[in-house]
Amino acid sequence: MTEKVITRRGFIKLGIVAGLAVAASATIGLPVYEKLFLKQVPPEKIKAIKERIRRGGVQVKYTACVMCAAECALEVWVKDGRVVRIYGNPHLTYNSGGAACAKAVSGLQLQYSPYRIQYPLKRVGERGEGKFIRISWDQAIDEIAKKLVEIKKKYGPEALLTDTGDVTDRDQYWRLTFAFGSPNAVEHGAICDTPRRHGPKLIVNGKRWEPDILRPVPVRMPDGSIQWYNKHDAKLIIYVGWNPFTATRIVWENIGTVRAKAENGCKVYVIDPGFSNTATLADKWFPIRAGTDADLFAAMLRYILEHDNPQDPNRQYINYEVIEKYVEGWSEFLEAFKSWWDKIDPVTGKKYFTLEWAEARTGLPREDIEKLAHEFGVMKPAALIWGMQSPGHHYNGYVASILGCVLNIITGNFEIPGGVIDTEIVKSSKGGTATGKQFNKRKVKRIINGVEVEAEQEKLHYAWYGDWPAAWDDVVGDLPRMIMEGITLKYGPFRGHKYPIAAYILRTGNTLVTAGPVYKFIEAFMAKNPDGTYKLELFVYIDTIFLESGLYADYVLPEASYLERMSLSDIYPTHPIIFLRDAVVEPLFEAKKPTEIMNMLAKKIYEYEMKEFGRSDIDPKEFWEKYKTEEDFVNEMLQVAPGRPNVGRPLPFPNQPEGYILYGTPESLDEGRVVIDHEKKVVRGEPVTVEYLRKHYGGTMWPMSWYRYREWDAEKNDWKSGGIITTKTKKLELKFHKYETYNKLVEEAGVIPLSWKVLGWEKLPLTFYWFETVWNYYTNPEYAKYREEYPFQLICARVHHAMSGTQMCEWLAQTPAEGLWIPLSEQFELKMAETIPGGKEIVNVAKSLPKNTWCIGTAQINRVDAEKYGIKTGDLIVLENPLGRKAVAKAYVCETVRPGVIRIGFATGGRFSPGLGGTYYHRLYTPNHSELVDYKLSPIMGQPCFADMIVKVRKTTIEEAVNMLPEYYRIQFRIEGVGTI
Amino acid sequence: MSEEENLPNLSEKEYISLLLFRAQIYSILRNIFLFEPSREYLNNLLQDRFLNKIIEVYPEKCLRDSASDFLEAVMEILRGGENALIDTWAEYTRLFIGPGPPATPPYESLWIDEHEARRYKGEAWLKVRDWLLDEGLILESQTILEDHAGIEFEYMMVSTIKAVEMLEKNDRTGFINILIKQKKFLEEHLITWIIKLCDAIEQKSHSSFYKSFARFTKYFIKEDEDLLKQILNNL
Repeated sequence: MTEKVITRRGFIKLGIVAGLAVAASATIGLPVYEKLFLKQVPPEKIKAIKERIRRGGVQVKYTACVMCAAECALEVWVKDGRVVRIYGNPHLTYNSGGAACAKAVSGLQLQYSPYRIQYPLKRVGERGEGKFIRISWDQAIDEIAKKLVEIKKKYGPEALLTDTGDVTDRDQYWRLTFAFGSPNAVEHGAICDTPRRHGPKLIVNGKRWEPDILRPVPVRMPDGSIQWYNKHDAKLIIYVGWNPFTATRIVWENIGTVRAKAENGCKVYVIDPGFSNTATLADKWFPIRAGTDADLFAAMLRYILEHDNPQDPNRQYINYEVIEKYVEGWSEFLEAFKSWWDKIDPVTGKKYFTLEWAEARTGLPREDIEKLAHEFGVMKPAALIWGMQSPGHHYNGYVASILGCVLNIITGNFEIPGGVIDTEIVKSSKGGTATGKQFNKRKVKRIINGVEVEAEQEKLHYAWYGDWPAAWDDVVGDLPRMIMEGITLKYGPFRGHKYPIAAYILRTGNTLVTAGPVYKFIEAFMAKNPDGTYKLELFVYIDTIFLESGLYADYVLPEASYLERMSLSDIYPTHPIIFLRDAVVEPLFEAKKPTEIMNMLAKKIYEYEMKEFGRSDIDPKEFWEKYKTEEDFVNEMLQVAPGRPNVGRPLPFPNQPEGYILYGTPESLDEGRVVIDHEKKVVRGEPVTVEYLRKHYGGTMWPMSWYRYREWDAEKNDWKSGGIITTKTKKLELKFHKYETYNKLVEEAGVIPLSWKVLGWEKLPLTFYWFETVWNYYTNPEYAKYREEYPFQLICARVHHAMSGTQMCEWLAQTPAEGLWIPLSEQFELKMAETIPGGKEIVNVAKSLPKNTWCIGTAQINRVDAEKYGIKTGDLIVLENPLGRKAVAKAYVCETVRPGVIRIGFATGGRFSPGLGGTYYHRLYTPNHSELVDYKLSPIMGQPCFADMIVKVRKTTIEEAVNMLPEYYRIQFRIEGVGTI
Repeated sequence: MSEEENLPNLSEKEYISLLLFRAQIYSILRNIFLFEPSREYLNNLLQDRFLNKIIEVYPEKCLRDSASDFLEAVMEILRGGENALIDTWAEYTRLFIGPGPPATPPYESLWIDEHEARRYKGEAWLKVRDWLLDEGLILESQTILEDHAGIEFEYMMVSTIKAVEMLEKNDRTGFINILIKQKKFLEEHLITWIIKLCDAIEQKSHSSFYKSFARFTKYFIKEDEDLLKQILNNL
């Protein structure tokens, strides 16, 4: 060939192209694959585009964050169609005080990150292999819809489970699921902190209790005007396993805590095995043993009951008026509580709930427990707040949650200025009919044991009528078993009905890492039938970024980022507020908005169902014909705002009837542009709309009031219970009427749920109950045998990047937090972590991240313990639990965790999705907390017990670590080049 | 370099020949960066007379060899049947799309903008978008960004065709202006990052198709830069 080589000129003169050139205009004839992307447009159009760009300059837009669960209001600057700046929204100071935190600002890194999912993908390898091909949206939707209809035909629509993760604008996916015929739509709440919320739900039909320190708040004045109330009233706040200074849903709590302390001399106590960010500001840190919050609360309650003296101003702990007038079931509760007082605890040998007993269990000095009880009793207004890292993550968190509520209620701190407020029952409603729950009321038929049964669709729910009848927040932690074994309904009209979980749509969630033992989820996703097909027949992953769960999906769909889609922020204020999450830029690549994805799927399902069944559960009028744009959908979601009663003092709208439910803009309610329905006790003003919110900087709020659990009875000239309390008796129920429903259901079926049986219960107790947590030898005699071999309690805590995916933002990945997330990266190990051929060997590949520049998830260990084991900061250690599960971590030796406790960050380590940025490279020497969690869900609600585990510790080497970790850590993903392009 | 190699005194017909050659190769680069290859397209590539002539007689050895390797890789896929084709698509997805970070993202912003922390829609994107606007070009679809390698190659292809039109209309000034702009675009954009991208593809790809294609792209770009320089020197 070399001989033939000619010059360039010779090449051109060959005339190989002359034919083409002569044959026709050169603009045709060239083989262009697919159509051109670039379009020539007339100069006047270009001029107009350029003028538009120039004229636009920086556009200021208002939206809401999702970089953590707080979902604060944002001001976003858009230039040239790009988001160029993210600030706090100075017009809506609720939550963030008008500022933007590091997480919010890091949204810029997510928005234009190379880790974003760009196009629909279809798996072509095995699950977990990471082998995908790009497909069109049309193909993806067609194949998913076809499979869903096939599954529906085989098993019924209930075989679809939709899990919408932690981002709260989920309504479109729920609507589609419900309309398809499945009641099985769940979200992150099921794996977040259900025991923590248990007390509030039982007692006031609420969810989370927070201190009344959101300031300023709009309040009605005696002259009728609304003024900003900016004074702090709280005198004492006790945070138990709750760290509002780091990552919580409620950012205003950290601002409010600082202000209450500085402006009102409010005392702040933090009770936590770890010295959290919140503890840094506290007057005192009480380093309690993990899993003993209920013990502390019980001792505080006993102390208050035993030492209360209405005649002594220094002992006036209990507010008897509240108990008498607004509480139901106090005497039964008291009796049940006192029935334990003379019993001897087999672990401590002391009488239950005494200070000595609590001292032995909690590890706190009895003087401290006494001080906490006494001060909480007398320093009114006060707030006792418990969080997800305490009752929320313990097997017996229910008991603590109930006792926490009782302590706040009987001391008269509920709903008073500076006391505690249940944010769930005072925040603005949203969603309404848009969420589609009405579809669950449709009557459906199933043949069970040859008999046709007809009942509401909702009664097919996999958990409520399956093994978890009282798990009102659903159960996601039990998904592996449900996929492996299928669902058998045991309660309700469809009892005996069986179906598999055959289709799983996971949207903005990462169940694999955050819902319990990782290996269990992988086992379930990989499980196959004898014919080689996967048990879980369809797994669709929808998100903006690619996390571990996506590796096991059959289809990966790119969703528009939070800056590209419209919805409503889900926030937890102490009075009705609503924020618009506006679409401030167009979606990148082929990402689509939830409304569009919903409509596309609905339409295709409709077509396949019409073809297959001659009818469809999807009504076009309820989807694409109704919601032409996402704004149409959000406007429907807003129709129920604020949806709260006109109650409390000062009365929010004195011109409207007290106790009536309010709908509509604050202005219309204020100015009387309303329609009043006296029969339904509803006042309807002008509806809140997207357009209205845009005119008001993206949000609106209604006036605050307190004492909202009561209403003025004009006839009796006295207060009566009611208002925001929607329990059976309209009172604060210490007799748990809510449990009666489930007891009845179980009694009818005659089958005791496993989730109750483990406690020895045949029915749920209607008043105070007590049971111990698990994997805790300080309180539960069952575990005493492990005490010597496994001397550490293992707990987890959140770091600043609250979502399990946002640590892919470099700014957050390099911002240390509480010794849980610190720059301990090893340069060589970092290289090593990139490629491990054959899953055994470490190969150094040139990468450039210097040592100790990247934050990694660590294991905090107290200095005293570390010295005993010869462990220094940065040493590699193995954490091993009695179940034989192991995790590898770098030690962080400190004074800021209680001796005998190992504290690691939640979802910070062992992250094996290449979509995690630099974090991915440290997976071999960072601990994934979920690897060590037992697959022992808490009773009643089925919450994974993230903070109930014990471990032993020893030093190790990276070579050993590589070999001991599960295979999925060692997979050399097809995807390489993270951060090193 | 000899006079022959300096391309002096080309006739109009020869210029058209040269331009069409360039346009065709840019069309191939554009297609392969933008799309997973279909069987039909791979067959077209095998038959492509430009590529075959490059292999046969082109003076630059690197370009010749890489074109040869490339067509060999094409044949290998075609010989491999359906699985080989799907593997090629999966490799395309892994290299250019993800999930997670693409191994070799085909966007200029991700290779150039150090200060922008390498994000999509970085400053490079802005410059390319403005460049295209100045040329009267906009993206018809928003599902891709202007600084994608395939779009930058499409621009080179489209503008080359425009240059042919100019010559056909005897608009020599217009023709020269286009070549000047192309040279500038190459220097300010393509050359600054495509070589790095191609080196990365060569290093990271598991597929001989993409490895050889990357080599071919790299050598062609260098060659084209030289060609443009010489043509403009002589005009």
